[in-house]
Amino acid sequence: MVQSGARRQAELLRRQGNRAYERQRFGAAIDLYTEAITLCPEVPEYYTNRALCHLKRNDWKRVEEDSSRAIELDRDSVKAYYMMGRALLERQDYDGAIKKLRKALDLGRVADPVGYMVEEIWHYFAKANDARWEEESSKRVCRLQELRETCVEALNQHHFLETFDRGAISEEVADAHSERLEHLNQVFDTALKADIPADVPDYLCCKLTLDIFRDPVITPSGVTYERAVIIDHLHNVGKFDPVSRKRLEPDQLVPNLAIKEAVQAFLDEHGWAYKT
Amino acid sequence: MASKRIQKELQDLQRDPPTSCSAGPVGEDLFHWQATIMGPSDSPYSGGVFFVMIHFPPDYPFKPPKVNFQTRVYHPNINSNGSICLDILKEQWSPALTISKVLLSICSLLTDPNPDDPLVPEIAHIYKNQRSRYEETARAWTQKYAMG
Repeated sequence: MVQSGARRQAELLRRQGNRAYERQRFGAAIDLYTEAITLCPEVPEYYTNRALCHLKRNDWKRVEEDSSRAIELDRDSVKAYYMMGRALLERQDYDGAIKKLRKALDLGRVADPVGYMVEEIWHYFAKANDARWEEESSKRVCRLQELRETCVEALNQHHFLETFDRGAISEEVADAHSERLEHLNQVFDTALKADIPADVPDYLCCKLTLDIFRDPVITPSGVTYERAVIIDHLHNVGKFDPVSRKRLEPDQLVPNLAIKEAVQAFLDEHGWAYKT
Repeated sequence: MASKRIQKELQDLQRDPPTSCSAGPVGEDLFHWQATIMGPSDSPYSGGVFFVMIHFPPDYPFKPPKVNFQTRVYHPNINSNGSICLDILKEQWSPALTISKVLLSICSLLTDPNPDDPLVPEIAHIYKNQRSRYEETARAWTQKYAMG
């Protein structure tokens, strides 16, 4: 009896908190949710609601605390993983952010594959990946550049000793030297290539968005599309496959796991593609 | 999605332009393009350069772009306002089509008019019954409106 009374009271406070949130009075909302938590500390939504208020106030440390508590209480909370990911992104823990946001994305897609929440999570997921790539790639480029310079110097020194020993500069030796230098540069150029933004191959891009796949689904015609966009097409344009023009119903769409893996493999190698 | 997709199409067109046409935004507005189509060499429009206006709807690519000739053309499926009668711009539109594919379809419409679904019945009639007169007039119009 006492228990349910407390829960009722807490729910009342939550509703008041939601109203304060809607009026953008985040401080007041935080106080109301805090009271609700004091009464019922085991309800994950109270923490995610309060975390959202902290998020609006850019109080990232508290966002992290509340989302982390919410995750402990509910391992399937899309919102908790999402806000936790954003808090980690804010303090530049890119690996952590990517992990949490991926979890949010997976859970969100199960709940509502075409909802606005998934779109928003993807936005920050891509941002975190891009930031991580930016950081790692500049380190890699720096390291390779340094190594290249050292190698060129070593080759030059080697060449100097070679000619010194012989006492004269033979054409053959000079040619061999410049050939070696050229090969060395080729090796480094190849190593740097993955870090230079280029085009994503067409087979990894949706025919409708012309963008790299996020959640690819395949039709009975064998054509792969971005899930949210093909569903939009089926609802708003017509029940047909845009490429083959054959009749198509939403329940005929099947996830294309092979393409999804290929996209992931490509993104792992070419982090710049998150930004396109 | 519309502006991102239009941007991608623009990138693709710049990277890999089709042989007989070109297209791009008129000014700052990404949803308003102009294109040029070279008259196909195996048609009476050969040698002409035709200007085409393209307007993308806000819900592109779920709705087709609006495409109009600005240059006058003597053709059974193109009227004096520059309107084009082409199925893929209407009921046969598919979001998998791109501006590049639309322009190529217009090129082939210039080569092979469709007199059975005409926009200008008089020209369709002449096309069907007096082919050389149609060709002569089309050539004369091309010279007059689409050259120099």
